[in-house]
Amino acid sequence: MANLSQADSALPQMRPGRFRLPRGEAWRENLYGYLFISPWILGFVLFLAGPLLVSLGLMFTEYAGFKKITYVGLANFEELIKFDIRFIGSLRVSAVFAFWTVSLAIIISLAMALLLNQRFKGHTFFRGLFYLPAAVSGVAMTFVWAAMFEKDYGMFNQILRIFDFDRVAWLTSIEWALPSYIIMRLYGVGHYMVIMLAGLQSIPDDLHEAAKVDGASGLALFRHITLPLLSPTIFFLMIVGMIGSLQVFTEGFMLTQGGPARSTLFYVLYLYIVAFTERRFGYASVLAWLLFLIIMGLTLLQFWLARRWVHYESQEA
Amino acid sequence: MVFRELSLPVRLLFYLFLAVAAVSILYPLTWMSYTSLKTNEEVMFSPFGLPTRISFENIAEAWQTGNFARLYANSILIAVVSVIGIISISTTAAYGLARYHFSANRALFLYFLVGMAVPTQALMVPSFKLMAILDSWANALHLPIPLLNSPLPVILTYMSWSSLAIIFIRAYFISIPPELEDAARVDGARELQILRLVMVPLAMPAIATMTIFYFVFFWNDFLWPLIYLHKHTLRTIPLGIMHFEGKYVSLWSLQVAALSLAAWPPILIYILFHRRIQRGLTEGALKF
Repeated sequence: MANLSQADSALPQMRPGRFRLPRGEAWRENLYGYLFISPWILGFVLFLAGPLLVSLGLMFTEYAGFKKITYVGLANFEELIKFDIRFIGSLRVSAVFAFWTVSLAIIISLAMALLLNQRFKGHTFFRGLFYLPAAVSGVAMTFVWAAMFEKDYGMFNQILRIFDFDRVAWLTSIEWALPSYIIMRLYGVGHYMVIMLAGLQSIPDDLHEAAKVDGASGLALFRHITLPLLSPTIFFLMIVGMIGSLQVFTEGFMLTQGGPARSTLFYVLYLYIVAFTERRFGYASVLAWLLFLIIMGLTLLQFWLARRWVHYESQEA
Repeated sequence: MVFRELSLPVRLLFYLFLAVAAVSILYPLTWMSYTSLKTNEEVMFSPFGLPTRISFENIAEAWQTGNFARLYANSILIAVVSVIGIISISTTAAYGLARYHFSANRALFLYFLVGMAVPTQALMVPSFKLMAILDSWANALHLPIPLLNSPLPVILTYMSWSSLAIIFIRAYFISIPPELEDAARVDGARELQILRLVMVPLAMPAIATMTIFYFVFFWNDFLWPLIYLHKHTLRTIPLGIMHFEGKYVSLWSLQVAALSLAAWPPILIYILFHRRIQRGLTEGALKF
């Protein structure tokens, strides 16, 4: 959709409603407006805002899910800061995981998108193919990966054997368990690639042509035209990727449950264990809200940093 | 850079790279698919070799022992009802936000970001409690609305995740010229009629994209069924798979057959609708 160019702005701009009823009927208009959005608001309050507020209150309590709720003041926060080794460890695991998956996914998808942006035979086929894994993600795929990582017959060790390397205990060794999850995540890199490709295709051809006439080399073209014009897309992928990978849970829950030696104890997995295995809902709420603050903080930080490196055409016009 | 201007070795290298990428993407999926069509003996003796003859014995056995008919019925019910609900809610909300006096853009965007950043795990406990409370109220009032031990709490939770659909459909509504509605209004149409008979047909591409998106998403979701659906008769496919894989750890052939049964529907949906899915993805990103 050409008219919705991404150069528009990072934040959607305030647009006045185009349609206006006659002035005297403003009350009617408001009424209709609210009627239209009321089912959404109802769901929002009941199943998002409400539970969120409750969990906000739970932070100051001890609660095992039964009748009794004990108010404990700031004890949960104290425990978090002073005593919880698992918390620090899980924060580290998630940070390492998020950093590597997002940066590798962006680099790989950029390279793939640059390749697929060439007009060669079959580029639509390859584009469709590369997105496929993102569509079938989920529980079934996670178990397929477990089979691929299997120590004796798994695909990865079969390949290593061909090249005469030693077997690797992928999901069962402390060094390799987390990298295994990163590889697993990168299987869905096609998702990034499709978006990257759309960003590339929205760059007008004449800019490249003009720069070529001025004698710019391929690398200079990439550095000074493609990359700046692609920066809003890269920025979008960084935000979405970061949020998604900090919340990773299902794979870890199903395959390693945090082991070996907590090397794959992702933050949300730890949160789940605290809440549903140890049944400490108060403390789990503290963990959940902290993660929320971390994610919001990082997102705002990225928005702030974005002013230095993300290029929006409309700012110059 | 024009592809045809490149030298032959560079072009060959390029195709080689693509071929390697394609094989590594396809391998896990094809491995799963063909392994589930092998006989037990073949799986034992050459776990990664191709089947010499196609056999459906493992698929049939997994379907039987895993009670897949039930799992499919549950998954389809939850996904279909949730999608219908979420699409109706988001379409009306998107229309309200697009055409009436709300300066909701910024707020909506913020809500979207917050909704993404909230760890769903923070919502699990209070939501579960809330459903229990609502259930006891419904019981006290003798309302036949089971909010525990039924698919309903999962469906209600899914239906509240409308931010993406609202943003997406709203953007589409805004691009439709308001003169069309004015014309319908002059002809005496009511607001809901305008939405149903004028706007929805025009916004069908956006609505269809969101339908496919949410369907696949609900189909694959694991967490909320895990929280609400404890009875084994209520399990959805991801839950069923998890229990199945735990139960038949040593029967690899049977396990893989079950995985295929779970993964084929989304693959099929993707193959049928991949153009629309990809377009939807990229449009969503461009509006960020």
